[in-house]
Amino acid sequence: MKTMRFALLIPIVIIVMVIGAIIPLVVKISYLYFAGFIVLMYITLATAWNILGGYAGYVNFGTAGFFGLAAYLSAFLLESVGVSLPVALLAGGAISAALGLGIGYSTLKLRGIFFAIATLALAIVIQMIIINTPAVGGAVGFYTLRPPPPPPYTNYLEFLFVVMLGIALASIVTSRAIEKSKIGRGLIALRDDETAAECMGVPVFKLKLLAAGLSGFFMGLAGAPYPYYITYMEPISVFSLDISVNAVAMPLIGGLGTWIGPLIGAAIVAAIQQAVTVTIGSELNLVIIGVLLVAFVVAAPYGIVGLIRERIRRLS
Amino acid sequence: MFPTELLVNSLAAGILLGGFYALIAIGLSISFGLIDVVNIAHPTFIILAGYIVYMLNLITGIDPVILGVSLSPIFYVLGVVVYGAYNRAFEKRGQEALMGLVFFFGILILIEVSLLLRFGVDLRTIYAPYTMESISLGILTMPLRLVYPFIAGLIIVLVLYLFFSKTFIGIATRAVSQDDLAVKLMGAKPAVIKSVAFGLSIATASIAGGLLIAMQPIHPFLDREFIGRVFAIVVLGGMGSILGTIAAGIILGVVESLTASLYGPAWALAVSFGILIAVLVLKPEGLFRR
Repeated sequence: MKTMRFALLIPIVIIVMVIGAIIPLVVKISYLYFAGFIVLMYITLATAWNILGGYAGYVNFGTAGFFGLAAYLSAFLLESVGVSLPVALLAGGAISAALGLGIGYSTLKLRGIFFAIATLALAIVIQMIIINTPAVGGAVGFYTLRPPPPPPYTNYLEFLFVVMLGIALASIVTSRAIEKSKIGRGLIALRDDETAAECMGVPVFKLKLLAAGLSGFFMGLAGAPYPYYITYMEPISVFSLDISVNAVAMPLIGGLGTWIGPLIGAAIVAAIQQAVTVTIGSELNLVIIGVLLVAFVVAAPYGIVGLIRERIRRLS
Repeated sequence: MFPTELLVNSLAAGILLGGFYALIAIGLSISFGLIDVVNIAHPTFIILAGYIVYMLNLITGIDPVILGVSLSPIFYVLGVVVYGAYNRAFEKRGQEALMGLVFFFGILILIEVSLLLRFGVDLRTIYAPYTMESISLGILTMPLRLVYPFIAGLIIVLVLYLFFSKTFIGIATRAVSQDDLAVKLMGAKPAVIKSVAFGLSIATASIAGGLLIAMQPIHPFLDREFIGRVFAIVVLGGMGSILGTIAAGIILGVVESLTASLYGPAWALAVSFGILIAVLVLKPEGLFRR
C-alpha cells in the first residue's frame, strides 16, 4: 500500500511540473505568476522549516536570515561575477545549508531554546552586516538586471515561476521521503523523547544536524531566485519580518510534522494574505498571522491536519 | 594609536551601559533562568512600556522614569495574566518547550505590529531635563542619560536579589526552579509561585521601558536588537543568578562600548550575538553560579 502511494507520487509530481511549465506559454496573465511565485516560495520555506521544526521540534525564528543570505549571495554572483542561474541557486542553497549546519553544530547539543534564540538574533545580525557592507549595496541596495528569458518563455517572470515550482516540488518530495524513512522516524523519536531515542540507538545529534542542513538548504533555494523576482535588492525587504513569521505560522496552521501540513498552511495563509492585501491593505497581514498563530498554538496545536485526523478518528 | 581619553570614556560608558543591560535582562533571568518560562517577548514588553510611557509623557509631561516605575504594578498584572494563559495552555499539557516558545513569538509579533500600526516606524523620544547633561571628572565625562539608568539598574537588581534570597516567596521561587515536584509534595502550588515571579519579571520591563526612552529614541522593532543581548547576559550570568546578571551585563556593556569606539556602533550589535554563541559552545552553564 505504502509503496503504491509512493509510486503514485512521482507521476503526480511530474504531471504537476509539466502542466506548470506549459501554463505560462498559454495563459498570459502576469499577476498569476507574480502572486504564484510568492505562494510557491512560501510553500518551499514552510516545507523547509517543517523539516527541522516539525519533525525534530527545533524552532527556527530566523528564516529571513537564511532566505536573505542566499538571496544576497545569489544576487552578488549573478550581477558581479556573472554566473548562470543554476549555479546561483546551488550557491544560495549551499550557503544557507552551511549556516544551518554551523548554528546547528553550536547549539543543537543543548536545549532547543538555544537554537531558537540563536536563529532569532541571527537574522538581524546578517541584516546589520549587509547594511554595513557597501560592496553589496549597504542600506541603499542595488538593482539586478533580468537576462532575456530562455525560450520557449517570452517573459522572465514566467520562467522564474516555473523554476520556483520545481524548487517547491523538490522540497515537498524531499520532506515526504524524510517522513517515510528511518531518518524521519528518528527525528520524531528524538522530538518526543531525546534520551529515550538515544538509548534506542538513534544517532540523535547527526540526525539533527542533517535536518538543520537540509532545512537551511531549501530555505536558501527559496531565496536564491528572489533577486531576479524583485529586481531590487535592499536589506529591509529581503530580510523582512514577514518571512520569518510566515515560515513558523504556515506549518503550524497546516499541521506540524507532516509533509502536507506546510503545503496546506502556506496555501491558505498566502491566499488570505493576497486577499487582505487587495481588499484592506498589506499592513494588517502580520496582525492576522499573529492572531492565527497564537489561536492555533493555543487551541489546535496540531493544525488543520490534526483537526481533520481527529474528526476522522471520531467518525470511525 | 588609541587615545587614553577615548579608552577611559568608552570603558566608563560600557560599565554604565552594563548596569542598564542588567536591568533589561533581570526580568528574563527570573522568567527563563528561575521558573523556566522562555519569554522571548521580554524585550518586546520593554518596548511596549517605552511607548506607553511616551504617550503618557505627551499628555502629562511627567518624567519618563517616574512613569515607568508607576506603570510597573499594571505590568505586574499583565505578567500574571500572560502566565495564567501560558500555564493553562502549555504547562499543564506538557507542551511548553515547542508550543510555548511559538506562543511567546506570536505575542512578540502582535505587540510589534500593533506598535507599528499605531506609531509608525518613526523614532520616538522624550527629552528629560537631564538628557543632554553630563558629569565631568578630569578626562572622564559621564552623560547623565547613562548614569541614571545605571543607578536604577543596580537598585532594582539588588532589591530583587534581596527578594529572592530573604523573603518566603522568593525562596519558594528558587525551590520551584530546583525541584517542581518536591514543592508540590510540600503542599505548595508551583503555578501560584511562578505567576508571582513572572509578574515581577514583566514589572521590571516597565521600569526598563521608562529608562530606555529617557536614554535613546525607540522604534517598534528595537526589541529585536535587545533579544540577542538579554539572552547573552542571562546565559553568561549563569541562568537565574541575580548577581551574575549584573556582572554579565557589565561585561557585555564594556565589550560593546569598546567595539563601538573601535569599529563603529553598527558592529556593537554583532558582539552580543558572538558572545552568546561563544558561551553556548564553550561554557553553556555560564560564568557565574546561582
